[in-house]
Amino acid sequence: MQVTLPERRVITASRRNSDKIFLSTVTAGALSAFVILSLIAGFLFFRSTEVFQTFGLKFITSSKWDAGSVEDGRAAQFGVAAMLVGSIIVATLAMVLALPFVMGTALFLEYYVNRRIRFILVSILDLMAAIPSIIYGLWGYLVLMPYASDWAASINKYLGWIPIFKVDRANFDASPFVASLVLCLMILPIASSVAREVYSRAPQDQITAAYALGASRWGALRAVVLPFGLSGLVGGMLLGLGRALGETIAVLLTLNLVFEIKFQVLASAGGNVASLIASRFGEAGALELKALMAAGLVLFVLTLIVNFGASFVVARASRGN
Amino acid sequence: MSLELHGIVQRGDFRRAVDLSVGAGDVVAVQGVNGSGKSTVLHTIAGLTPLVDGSLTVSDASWDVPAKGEWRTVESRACGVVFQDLRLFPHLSAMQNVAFGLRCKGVKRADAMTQAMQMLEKLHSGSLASRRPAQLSGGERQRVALARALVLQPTVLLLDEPFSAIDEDTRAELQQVVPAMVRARGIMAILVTHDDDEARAMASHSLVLEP
Repeated sequence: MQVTLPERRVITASRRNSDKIFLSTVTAGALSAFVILSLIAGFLFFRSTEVFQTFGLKFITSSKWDAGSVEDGRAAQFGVAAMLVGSIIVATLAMVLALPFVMGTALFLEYYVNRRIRFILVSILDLMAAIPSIIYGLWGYLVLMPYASDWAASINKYLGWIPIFKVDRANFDASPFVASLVLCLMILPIASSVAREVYSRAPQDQITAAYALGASRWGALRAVVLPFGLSGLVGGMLLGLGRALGETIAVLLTLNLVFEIKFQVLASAGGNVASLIASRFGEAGALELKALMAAGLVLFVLTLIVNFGASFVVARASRGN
Repeated sequence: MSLELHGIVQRGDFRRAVDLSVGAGDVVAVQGVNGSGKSTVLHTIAGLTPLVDGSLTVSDASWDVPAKGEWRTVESRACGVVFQDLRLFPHLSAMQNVAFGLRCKGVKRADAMTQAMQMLEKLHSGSLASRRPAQLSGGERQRVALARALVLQPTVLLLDEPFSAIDEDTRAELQQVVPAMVRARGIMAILVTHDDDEARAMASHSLVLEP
């Protein structure tokens, strides 16, 4: 008897057309962010090359910003040191001011309120993130600044012996302190959202163990949740720092830009790279425009470093969890 | 001094009636298959889960009597708990873990550390004081968890399958050490275990929970 064997199956590893199209689409989507980032970096780099060639490292270390004058025979000089230091001071101070609020908000929402109230409060917090920065700036300038100036005067009165709280003149308006308070509110939603997310994953059995050992609720949170969520908190704060460093209009409205490195946070003088670019862009000549591009590149690199740091810390926290 | 638990315990949707009496210096084993409510009994005594009905009294003091609205908070119950999965705090050293409960009760840091060290030494674990849980073996972690429960000078010691994941030698040693400590201190211990041999070795009598 003859048996007819079926034909051998042909098994191919090649993808079907629908798979190929889908793969191409998602690859293009994933790469677009990287391409756009590279294009921005390339654009800033090429537009600012002349400035770095002309001024060299002095562009980073000098604080003088002078577009020069043909009539006076004054040569242009550009340096972002004061603005760069100012950016870091304002952003760091905003972090310091925000930290207790971020921790308090995250712990309160996660461990002290019921689900319904949490939903309402989280929605409000998310709404805060959606408010345009110009609104924060205007509110900071018109509403917050008069109060903040009084607070700054009190801090100066009682803690003026600490160098950073000293002032040369008793003018507390538009200081790094005021700008930091505004930034503090702006970074609160994102930082507390990340912190809350990590706190929510704290091991419940260890919290129970802390209670069983006699811990109060605060004791259990301090013993279990805070150490567990430390990396997440740091990551959230660093993401906020990234935003604070790049914030433009809110700082422009609430900070008096002065081209001098100052560490006095209550004085009406400070620096901010992003606000410098916004304030000079409209009236800049060709060379100053390039200098502003170079300033943008410096800010871009700084923000990139901070954001990479934040991503690294958050990723490590997620792995740890 | 005695512990009397007579009533209905509950955890989630699970409920069961329990009658348990433990005298001073006694170790009572609570046995039963998975899901029979053994751990729920311990959680109820520790105050982590309220009693649905009945009463829980220790030395005539009401710890949980729902009908009278009497309730003693977790932190005010003199309980020491060793959980099945130990639940040591991973970021604290062995000594800090042992001192944790004392610190919660307001003992000064230096005193808490001294007492923690003494308890670790009693359990032959003084050399582990500076190590974190991740740097300890299973048996060493068991000892630290036991020290953490005993250092609080509890009236009631609750042991939730505490020796389920350690080697034979360590288990045999701890099965002798723990009842001896319970007798010496005149406290009451409740041991949840699946192991009949362990129950016989440690407990004066057993309560078997039917499913």
